[in-house]
Amino acid sequence: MRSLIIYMNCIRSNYRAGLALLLLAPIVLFPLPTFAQPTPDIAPGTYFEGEFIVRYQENKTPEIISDQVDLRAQRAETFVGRLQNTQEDVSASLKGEKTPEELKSSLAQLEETYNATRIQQLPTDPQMYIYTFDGVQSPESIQEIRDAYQEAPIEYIQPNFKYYLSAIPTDTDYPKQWGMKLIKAEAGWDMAQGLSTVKVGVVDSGIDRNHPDLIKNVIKSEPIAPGCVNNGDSNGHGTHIAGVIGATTNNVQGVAGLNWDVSILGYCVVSPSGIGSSLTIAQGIDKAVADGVDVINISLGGPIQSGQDRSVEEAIDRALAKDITVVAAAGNCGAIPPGYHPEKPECLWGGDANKYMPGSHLGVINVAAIGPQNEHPTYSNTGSSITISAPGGNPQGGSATCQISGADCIYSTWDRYKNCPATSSLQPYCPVAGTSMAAPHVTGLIALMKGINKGLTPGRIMNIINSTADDLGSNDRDPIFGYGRIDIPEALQRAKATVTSTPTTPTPLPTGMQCSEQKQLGDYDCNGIVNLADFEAWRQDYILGKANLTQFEWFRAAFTK
Amino acid sequence: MRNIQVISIAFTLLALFGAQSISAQITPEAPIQAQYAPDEIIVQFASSYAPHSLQQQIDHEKSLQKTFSGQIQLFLHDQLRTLTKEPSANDHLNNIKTVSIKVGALDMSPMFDVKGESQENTYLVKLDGSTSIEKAIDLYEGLAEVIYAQPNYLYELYSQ
Repeated sequence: MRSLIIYMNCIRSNYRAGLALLLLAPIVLFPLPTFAQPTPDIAPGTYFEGEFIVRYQENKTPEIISDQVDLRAQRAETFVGRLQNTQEDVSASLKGEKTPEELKSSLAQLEETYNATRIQQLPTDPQMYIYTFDGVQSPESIQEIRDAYQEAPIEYIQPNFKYYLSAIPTDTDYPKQWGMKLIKAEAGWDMAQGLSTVKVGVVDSGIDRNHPDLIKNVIKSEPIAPGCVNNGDSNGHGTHIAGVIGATTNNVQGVAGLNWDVSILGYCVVSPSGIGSSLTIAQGIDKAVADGVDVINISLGGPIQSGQDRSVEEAIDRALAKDITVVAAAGNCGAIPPGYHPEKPECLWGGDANKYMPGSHLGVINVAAIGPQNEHPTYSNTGSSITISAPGGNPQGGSATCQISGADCIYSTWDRYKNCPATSSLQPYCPVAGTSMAAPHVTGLIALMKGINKGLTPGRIMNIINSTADDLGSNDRDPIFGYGRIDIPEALQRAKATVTSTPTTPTPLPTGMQCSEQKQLGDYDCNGIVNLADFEAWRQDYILGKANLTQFEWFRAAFTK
Repeated sequence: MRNIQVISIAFTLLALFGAQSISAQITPEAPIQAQYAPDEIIVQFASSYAPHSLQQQIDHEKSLQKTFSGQIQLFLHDQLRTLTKEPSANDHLNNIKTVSIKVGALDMSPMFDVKGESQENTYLVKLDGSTSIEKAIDLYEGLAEVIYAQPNYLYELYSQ
């Protein structure tokens, strides 16, 4: 009701063209949500101390009041002017309003009492001012000022609250996740934070599904190899991969995941020794395909050349044929010469990435690792089959032992019932290095892209990731880094650009639209015309909580044209 | 499960009748360098020549024999087969069984429980260790019913 009175007053007291005012009226009514709502307590530390935002009623800003006082003083020199002033005074007193002189002195008094300095009138909104009040710090004194200012011709007064960039997660171990910074995850999270409708298959050692930092986003973990258990991890490795892709983020504990919302499905295809076979890998891929995942992460492999393991390669081809993107780790034998090593039989072909499956299979995104300074760790395999690079860690001197701080490795969730290799003790988070850790950064990006644009095919996804990468090493694609380091915001931007965009102007309305769509474009009563009647209908619904502010933006766009 | 039982019964029958000798004149392959699961191979059969499909055909023919019209149908089929010199389902199954006995197969079953032609026809074969993996692969790949045979390769996690 109060705003309606303001609205009427504005019409009466305004000396400009009535029609123009009528069109602007909806904007006057903007602070609808503020009236008749109890103010919740203000917590200390949530605002900039001493700073306030004041929005004055239209034509009641200190500037305008001051102008009015000057005008009236000028008028007072003539008889006709004095008559005009008296007429205004009578009219004001009938309505219970203060004269401009009274308003000016009460504003001056408030500013003097609370030691206020008017620092800025917002250029975007001439009714809005920013003040500093010296010595006003506690929530109590804030309330006092708010009460005192109810006398002034204002719409509202409020502290200047602090806002944080939403993209910096609150997770306590987030500072250890240098990899997220390297791929510009924060800028990416401003665009997309994942969707639970996107499904990611993790063909690995299973996942500790009930890990407190994973239970939200991990849907299941299915046992396939001997030694696997339902919803458990046979090794710890798969839990680490799942954490990079989608650990619960902003929960003030543990690590942040690339996807804040996502559905992760685990398939345990290796026994507790960390070894799986063609049989279990192919079965895992097939189950993920049957579950309808969008992307599959395979952070494992073997010294098997293309054409040798048809069972696994055909399983991958079946996934690709269903538009499921397959991401694999390139392998960790870079520092080992080719040949049979009894202690490392998995490194038969040395660091030749082209001779390892499934990374070298055509159509698979083969991921190399990089260290904290974008450097190539000696362990990471190289070859023409390398597609792209992502953070995988680089322990000092080419060792496999990570610093407990995670400074040289990837810090993520770990199975709660398995020893973390870096500390040889049970802990729910663990630093680990390897191309295994690089792959899920890429998989996580693909899940974010799928959330923005579900229609992206594996070919399109590979193209976007490659063309938006930050080049490392020699120009364009090279055997060490592939196309370079993934760039999350750039890739998301490209993924978004292929989405059919919604029209940005409210008129003209296309024919044959649903009423709900018309409402979103400003035609709130669905009669084909956007006018004040629509605004009034929207306003009634908004008060009742049936309409949203997004719709209001359309009115604003329509009326201020 | 039923398939496996049928197959093992057939194995016994085959042993009684005496196995046909197979002329395996394939050059022995170089030893496989990558690691694989001992005494296991993966065999993919051509469409409708997988043991379970052949067994289904044989069962169907048996059921035809119970009726007069079925017997006529079978007779005509046999005549046609003699003319085209095409082996019967039984012949195909016997070929597979002969190799299986030779390599010391203990068990063979489809490796995927997911439906789909190539999945249904891909089998994991467990061996008794009397024949080398290389030899077993050679023998299976010598069969017209087989698309490929390969070791069950080992894969490892890629953490440092």
